Amino acid sequence: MQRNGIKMKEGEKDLLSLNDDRGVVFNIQRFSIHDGPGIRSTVFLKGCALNCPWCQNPESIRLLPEIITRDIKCIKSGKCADICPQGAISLAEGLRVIDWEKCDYCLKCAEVCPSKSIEVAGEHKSVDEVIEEVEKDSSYYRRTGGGMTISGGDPLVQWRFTLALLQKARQKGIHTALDTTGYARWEVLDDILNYTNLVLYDIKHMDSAKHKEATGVPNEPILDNLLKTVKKPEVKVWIRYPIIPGFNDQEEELEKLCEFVITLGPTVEKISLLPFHKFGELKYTATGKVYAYRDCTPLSDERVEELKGLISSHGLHTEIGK
Amino acid sequence: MERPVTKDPREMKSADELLDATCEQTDFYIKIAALSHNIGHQTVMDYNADPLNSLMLDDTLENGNDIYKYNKEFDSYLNVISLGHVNIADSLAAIQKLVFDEKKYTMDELLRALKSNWDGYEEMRQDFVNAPKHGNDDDYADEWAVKVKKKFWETAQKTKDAWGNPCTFDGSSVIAYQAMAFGIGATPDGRMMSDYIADGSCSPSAGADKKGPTAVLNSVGKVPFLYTGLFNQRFMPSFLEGENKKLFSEYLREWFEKMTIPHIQFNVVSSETLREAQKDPESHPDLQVRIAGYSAHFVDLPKETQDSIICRTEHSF
Ligand code: SF4
Ligand code: SF4
Repeated sequence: MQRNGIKMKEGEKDLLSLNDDRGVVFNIQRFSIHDGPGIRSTVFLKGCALNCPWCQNPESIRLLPEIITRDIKCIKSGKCADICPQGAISLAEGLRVIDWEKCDYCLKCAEVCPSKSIEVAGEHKSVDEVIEEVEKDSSYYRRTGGGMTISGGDPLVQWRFTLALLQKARQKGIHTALDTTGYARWEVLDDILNYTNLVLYDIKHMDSAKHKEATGVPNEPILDNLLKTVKKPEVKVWIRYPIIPGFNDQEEELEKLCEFVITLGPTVEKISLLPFHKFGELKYTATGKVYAYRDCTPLSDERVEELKGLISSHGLHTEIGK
Repeated sequence: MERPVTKDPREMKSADELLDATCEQTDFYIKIAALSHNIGHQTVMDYNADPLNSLMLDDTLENGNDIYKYNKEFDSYLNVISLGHVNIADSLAAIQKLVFDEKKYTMDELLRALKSNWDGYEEMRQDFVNAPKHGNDDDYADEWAVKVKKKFWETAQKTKDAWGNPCTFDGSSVIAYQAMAFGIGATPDGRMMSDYIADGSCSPSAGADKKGPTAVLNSVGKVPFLYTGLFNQRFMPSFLEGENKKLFSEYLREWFEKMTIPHIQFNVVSSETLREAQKDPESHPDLQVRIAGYSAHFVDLPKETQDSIICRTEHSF
């Protein structure tokens, strides 16, 4: 499978669940203030079953570790070119250039790079290692109603690991949030929600064909799972709707979204609109991927406010996410 | 007084030995400072009574004491402004790791690299730059910060003022981290000659803290409050907007209740800083941008995106 230049290894999809005590984590961001209430730590897991061309974390889609580069840090040592078994790295005026077609993610270049100009995105970590890092900010969670958010990628890809993290956090009394596409077998999500206080649930398009065209998967399983999720009174839901110009920013689309959300009931606390931005752009080049939204202009603040107004007019609580 | 001869670093077995030697040398200089200060103080006491200022104190009149003879509520008349302790801690952490634990470099190589201001040793410097640093809630580096602070404090206390009170340190060095830096050669934390040293005497070195404000606060909070210090922290303006104000006040409470940092100073990243970073990315490699489900270094963003963040920053004030 190859979209946006994201290469999956043979059989990678079968590794999906890995195991329950080690997962591939690409970042633990402490002091997150936009992924749920309070001061939180967001655990970013690798792997996503969807493949949205506007993704802001392109290094998160592939399940296994990969390399990510930062040109300004290169000190032109040439060590990476010397070690690469695929001959994928050459030196042009000292700066290394990677032929991404040849790279097979053996990660050797990142190991020898002295200046972290090539780094590994995605590290195998145990549940205890992650929780230990998360617990370091427990006092801030208690003060601010914060906690741990698991994000990605989509945490439902490494679902066994996600489940184990949530269980452990629960045991420790840490508030838990799950930032997800909702794309999984219901049994999997069902189990996970038993240990989740809040779901940040993505809806990208109400039309399944359009959804599939853009993300690679149909939306029925996602919407079905959401209908079941809202039946759990103890799980709060925030809908996240990324507004992508030309894809889902038309008024009719937002009307359809509202019609659907209105039927969901009181566990849905709000709709967060996430306006399209291009902050992820350089991460595409940094990881050898193609950014299809390079020429897309983000919506104006006024337009975003207008769309927000449209949702509010249906009596739904909404905010513009950051 | 003669300058003590301490062991050749090449013969040392641990970074602790190096710290001890550093303190021994520091002790010598504190004693010189104390000597001149105490002579000065004695002279002022004898020849330069200050009745006006003496009236400002509580019981000078009753006891017939001049302000310069006043020896009550002060800890000490001898106050040494201290600077660069965080650089020392980071240096020792790097040396312990790379020279003593992993034995990747010898002390001899390190000395040569430092003498040449890392010139010709860039790869090696990267290892020292990337060694554990104070400010990331990482015990390896934070324990060195604790040790350095305690040891230097003990060292200061060995010297006495004219009244016999032990000497104290004062960490409120304000802007001196820039001025004094010019006289300081390359250091084993990866710093080059004349680069600024860590500001504020207990703030992490600029750019060394990579895990956000809570990690910085936790790190700094591990170091005991033995003498005054100044802690500078930088936030993106979004942390102080709207709903987030509540989070900020809770963050302050946490600092206030749990931590022992006497003086904290918040700077909000300004659009000027961002413009500077845009022009000179190398000096701001670690400026963080935080948005939902995403984080990146400011300098990694495309120009047009940087511009939009600058614009936002301007609008929030
Ligand atoms: S090893 Fe790192 S510093 Fe050396 S040339 Fe490769 S990317 Fe640049
Ligand atoms: S990760 Fe890719 S570029 Fe790096 S050494 Fe391996 S094959 Fe070469």
